[in-house]
Amino acid sequence: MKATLIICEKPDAALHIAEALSESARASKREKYGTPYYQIETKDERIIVCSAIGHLYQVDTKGSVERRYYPVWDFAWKPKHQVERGQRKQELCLRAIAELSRDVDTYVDACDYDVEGSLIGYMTLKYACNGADQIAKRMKFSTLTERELREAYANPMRRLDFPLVNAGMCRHEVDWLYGVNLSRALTESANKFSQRYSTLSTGRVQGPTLRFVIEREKEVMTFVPLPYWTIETIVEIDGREIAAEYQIERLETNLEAEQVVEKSSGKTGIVKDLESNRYRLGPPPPFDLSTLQAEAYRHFGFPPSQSLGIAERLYLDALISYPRTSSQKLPPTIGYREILSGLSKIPRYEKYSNTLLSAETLHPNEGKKTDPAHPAIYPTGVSPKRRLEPREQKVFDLIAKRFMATFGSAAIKQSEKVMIKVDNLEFLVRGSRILEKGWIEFYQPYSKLEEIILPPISVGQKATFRRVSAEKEFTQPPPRYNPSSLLRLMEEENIGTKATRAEILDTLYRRAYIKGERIVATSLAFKIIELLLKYCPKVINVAFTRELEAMMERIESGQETREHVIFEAVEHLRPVIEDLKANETEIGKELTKTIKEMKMAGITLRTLCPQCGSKLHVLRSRRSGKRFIGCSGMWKNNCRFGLPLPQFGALTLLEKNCRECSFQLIQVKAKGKRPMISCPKCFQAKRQSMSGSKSG
Amino acid sequence: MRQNCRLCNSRKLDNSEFCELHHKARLSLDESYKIWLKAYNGELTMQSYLQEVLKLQETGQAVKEMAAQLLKPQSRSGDDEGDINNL
Repeated sequence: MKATLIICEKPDAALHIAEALSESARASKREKYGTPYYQIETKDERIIVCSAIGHLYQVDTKGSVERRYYPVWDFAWKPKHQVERGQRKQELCLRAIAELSRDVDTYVDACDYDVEGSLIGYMTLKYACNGADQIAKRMKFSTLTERELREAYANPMRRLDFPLVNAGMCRHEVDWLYGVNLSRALTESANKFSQRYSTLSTGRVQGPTLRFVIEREKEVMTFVPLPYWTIETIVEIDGREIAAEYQIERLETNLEAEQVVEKSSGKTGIVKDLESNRYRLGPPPPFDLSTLQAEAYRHFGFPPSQSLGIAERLYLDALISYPRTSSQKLPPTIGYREILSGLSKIPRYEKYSNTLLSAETLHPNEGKKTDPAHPAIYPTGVSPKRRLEPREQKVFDLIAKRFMATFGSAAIKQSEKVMIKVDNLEFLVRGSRILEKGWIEFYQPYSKLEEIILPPISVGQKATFRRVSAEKEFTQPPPRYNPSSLLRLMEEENIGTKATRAEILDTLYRRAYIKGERIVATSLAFKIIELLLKYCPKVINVAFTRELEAMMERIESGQETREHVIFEAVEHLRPVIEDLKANETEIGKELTKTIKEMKMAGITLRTLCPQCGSKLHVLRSRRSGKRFIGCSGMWKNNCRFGLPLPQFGALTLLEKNCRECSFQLIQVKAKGKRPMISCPKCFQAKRQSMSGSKSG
Repeated sequence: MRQNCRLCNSRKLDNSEFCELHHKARLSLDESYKIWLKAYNGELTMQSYLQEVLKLQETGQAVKEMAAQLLKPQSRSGDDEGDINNL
């Protein structure tokens, strides 16, 4: 009997594939070394469906070199459990796949069809299945729906997609070379100087991304607001009061503003001109990953990595297509009508999908972006089999409505402009109305339907200026990046990939280089970028990173070789690392100073001691090990001021102060619990009053 | 000779008493004063300008530190770069 082994990327995908292929025979779930797999036996074929758990192999130093040593140029692919701690599950999974691959005739790679998925499948087949990468077939699919999986199994690609595999290997190898060498250079410089270990990192994409944040931070920190004046006006036309705007939006001097007020206040003007324009507002393109992440951030405040995680769960439930795509195209082969029919079975989409289904033809409004591997993100039309979590429900709703909106007709809007003249000054009244909702109706509440309806106005009509005032305002600093806008910038600058960008932002947060939702760069980030600019500016040069990115992309299309890109990367990196090594002491000294200052700042309160005016710190008792707020005047003035603190959870000193006593607020975040904000001073006062009343 | 910025611990620029950030803040303050002066029809003293800038929420932190420094009465001779009269 013929035996086939199908290797998937994740266990959920394996389950879907097993279910899809078990048309005539039941798939039985089995286990080997605690790793689940599925077996389907028909008359003439035995199909085994197993899965990896993401990457089972990773790049590491060739041979055994001390972990902190650098520079390292020789690398090898090793099983993940041999490189990282806590990878027992991966070790057992590899062992199970190796055993299952014995006595198999046909091998099929069914990992996600992209660079990472291709690499996972290739590595597993090559190393765990005894070189089966050369004979394995490749299933290509964009959804985990039964129809598509059966088709992909029946018509597989005859070979693995080696250009994608090479591109994936090259990306991992180049990132490893940069990450390991640069991060070890920084970490070791600081450690050798301070004799204390703190992990510092930078990388091929991390460095330039952090530089974007630093450049913006510098602009914000050196920003001087400039004054300007706006004119706010209420005019009365035909007994109705309407807001009007002065012809010049910003007046640069207060004298000009005062003159406008003087000349128009209480006066009656004449409607001199009317202008009305109709314009079409075309439907939006379907989602690629980055626009989905941006939209989910805009409407729900989800960080990009969270949106990706949710989208992947929806994909594994076969509810949406593969989300790691940069395509904004929806080819007809996905079956528009089938999807809409499926959506019409979900009550909240019934009305809109039926409206679309009643049309004779369906044409989505596609965007410009393409992806050779996958179409844009779309709902599969499959109804959720489980109750979706609120966050999953939100992302699913966004994707489903966006999909329907792309098939909608253009919205027709009408803008109206009324020009009023008084004493040679011109004012404008603006109105807008939606004549045809078109696609906007499908995309509610994610698209605004704001209208300003004006009463009937004709030329020559009188307009009385009821209220006119000059408001002083100030120019605003450039906005700080948020996770979504920073991700968009990375994409525009073509650094990183759709799969890695969100992860890089997470690393920047984890390393304490950036903080907050409106991203603020910390002093450590300033120091890292200052040092990199001084000793190896090319490493954080966006143009170079982009160039390297383009070279790696060319591997995917077979126009570039992996070996050449690695050679170029090493040639570029070698002198940089040598320079860093030669300046280790100087770099270590500066980093250590900044780390110390940052640590000190992290435990120093802005509020001064109410008893002696010295600085207050978060301290830990040598005797009990408990943390508390203590006064630095203890040693100088023998000040005994102290406040208790919660003992569990991560403690952060907030920028806000207590409304009651103006003491600095703290936030405590324990794992799995909501963050708790409290005032240590009020807490102590409350505790004292309670113990007083008890004893009283 | 002082190696660090007069307002923070960062390394100062060769041609300035301040680090890159505070030097830039100082230049921004100088440039912006001309625009503020025009906006108030020439009726704004440097002191009022700095006080106003210091109060505004939109003002950058490095600018605030520089404005506060410039408003301080000068105690040392030779520290002309931070002197309000030199603006």
